Amino acid sequence: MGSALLPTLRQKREVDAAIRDTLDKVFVLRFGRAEDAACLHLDDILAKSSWDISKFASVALVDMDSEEIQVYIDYFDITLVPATIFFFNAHHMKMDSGTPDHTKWIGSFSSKQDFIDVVEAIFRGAMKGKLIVSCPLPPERIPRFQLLFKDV
Amino acid sequence: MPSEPAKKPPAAGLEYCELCRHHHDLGRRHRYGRNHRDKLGAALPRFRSKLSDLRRALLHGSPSSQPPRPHLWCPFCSIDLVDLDDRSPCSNAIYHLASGEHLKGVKDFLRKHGGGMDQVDSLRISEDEVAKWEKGCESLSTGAKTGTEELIGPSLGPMKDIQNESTCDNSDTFARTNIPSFSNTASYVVMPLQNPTNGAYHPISTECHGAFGSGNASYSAPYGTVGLPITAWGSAETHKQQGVLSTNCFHGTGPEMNGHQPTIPGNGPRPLISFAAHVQQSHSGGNLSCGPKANVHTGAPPPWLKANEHDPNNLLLRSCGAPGEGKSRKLNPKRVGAAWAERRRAEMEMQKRGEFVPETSDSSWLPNFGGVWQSGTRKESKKDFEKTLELHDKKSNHELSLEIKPYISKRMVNAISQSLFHI
Repeated sequence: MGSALLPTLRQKREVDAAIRDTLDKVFVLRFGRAEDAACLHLDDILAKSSWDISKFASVALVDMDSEEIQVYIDYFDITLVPATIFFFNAHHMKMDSGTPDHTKWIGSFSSKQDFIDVVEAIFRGAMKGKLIVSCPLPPERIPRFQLLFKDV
Repeated sequence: MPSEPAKKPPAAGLEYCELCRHHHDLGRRHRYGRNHRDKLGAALPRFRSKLSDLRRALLHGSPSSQPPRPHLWCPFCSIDLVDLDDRSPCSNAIYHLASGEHLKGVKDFLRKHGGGMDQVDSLRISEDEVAKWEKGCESLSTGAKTGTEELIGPSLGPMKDIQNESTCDNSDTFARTNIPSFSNTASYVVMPLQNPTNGAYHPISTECHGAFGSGNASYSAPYGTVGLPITAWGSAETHKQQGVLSTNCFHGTGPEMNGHQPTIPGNGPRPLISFAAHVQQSHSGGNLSCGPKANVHTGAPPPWLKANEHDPNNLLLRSCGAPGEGKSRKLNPKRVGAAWAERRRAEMEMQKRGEFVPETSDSSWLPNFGGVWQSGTRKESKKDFEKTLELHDKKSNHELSLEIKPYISKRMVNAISQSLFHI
């Protein structure tokens, strides 16, 4: 399902192609399920802001229930849904938002502008050669979660 | 008796010094400080140089290296002297600098900030100088009017500023005195400035002079003023000329003009007329089409774009590519994945062209990812993951290869073997 505006990827080669073919732009990859409420909210924000950020970013959705995608779920260590991962020129971009996991954004955004600010911060950092950037949002707008190491 | 402690002078309130741009509570002592003296020493000569430029340019008439400033800040009175009237530039500044208010401001400033009252005269314009300047202005305006009645054609100097009142007077007097049948429509035509009036010289477009023959190659009028001779034109020709001027068309009467117009060198015996309208027309370049005027309302392209089309220098520039395209391609080479992006872009271009591109990705390709619990480099974490993936695959294959067989006891094996033996 997912948004009508954003492509939904269900196969590994589709995800590979999308990551490899997005050059000099931030590639936003959302892992989630269409029936999840938080995913729906996030999809709405992503769809509405995709045009605004089209000059420096592109967005795609990944269905976590697909079999071929499980390797990515293991590779990216996705345990909480939804999870948004950022790439730039096929390189993973990390963001320090004060959460335990810097490799992805867990949860939804409170507004369109927050998402745009995050993508812009990642783009600026990537253009300067930084693989990890600081989150421009205030702590109260960042969703909190607990990360367990191997269920410990 | 213990002596009373010396009474401290009452603390001066905080004051703001405009020169140093900060508050202080030193009172009058502040102006003897080193910083303040340095600032004063820089500010006064700066104003004096501006004043001397103004004086030199306007009062004595000698050309200065720079045109008079359109506005002048008077630090003594804190006034910005802006000249709104272009006909008499810097008049506001001159009148202010000669006024009593300015004199009072200068005295107050020097009294407050130090510097000596002997500098007052060097920081203002005297009344004598103002009177001299006014006289000069009057003589300029009357002299231009009388001068045209004597000459067949005026000099090209006043034509530089099309907004100059004397210029308009010139054209009107020509119409009255030399070409009775000449229409004044050209002088009333208000065209947008097509060439700068700041002293820059631009080469004349050859199209403008095509009708005038090759003789004008040596023509060196500033701003490309185009001259139209009067004496070679009979009264019959003036109508054609009238038509030319009213429609801003040169080429329309090209052959006729050629026939009646001998080559005229720039310094030839026949003085040429230049009109304010012609100054604009000569630089219209491609805007010399016959018919209705090409302007914003008719939807014509602006003249600077047309001029650029015919400019050979611009052709060269355009062949190199638009500046915008070059800027977008110049991405930071230190950006993340720059080498990867260039390689991938080259591969994609080869694929578009249909060339064979070796397959660089397979089903096991994974992007560069820094793990959540990463302890080494990203490559190491990727290798670790690939190893665990292989192990996981091997295990799953191993499990699939095991067949589940039913349990056969030794007694059953013996019984089967005996039955086979008896057979």
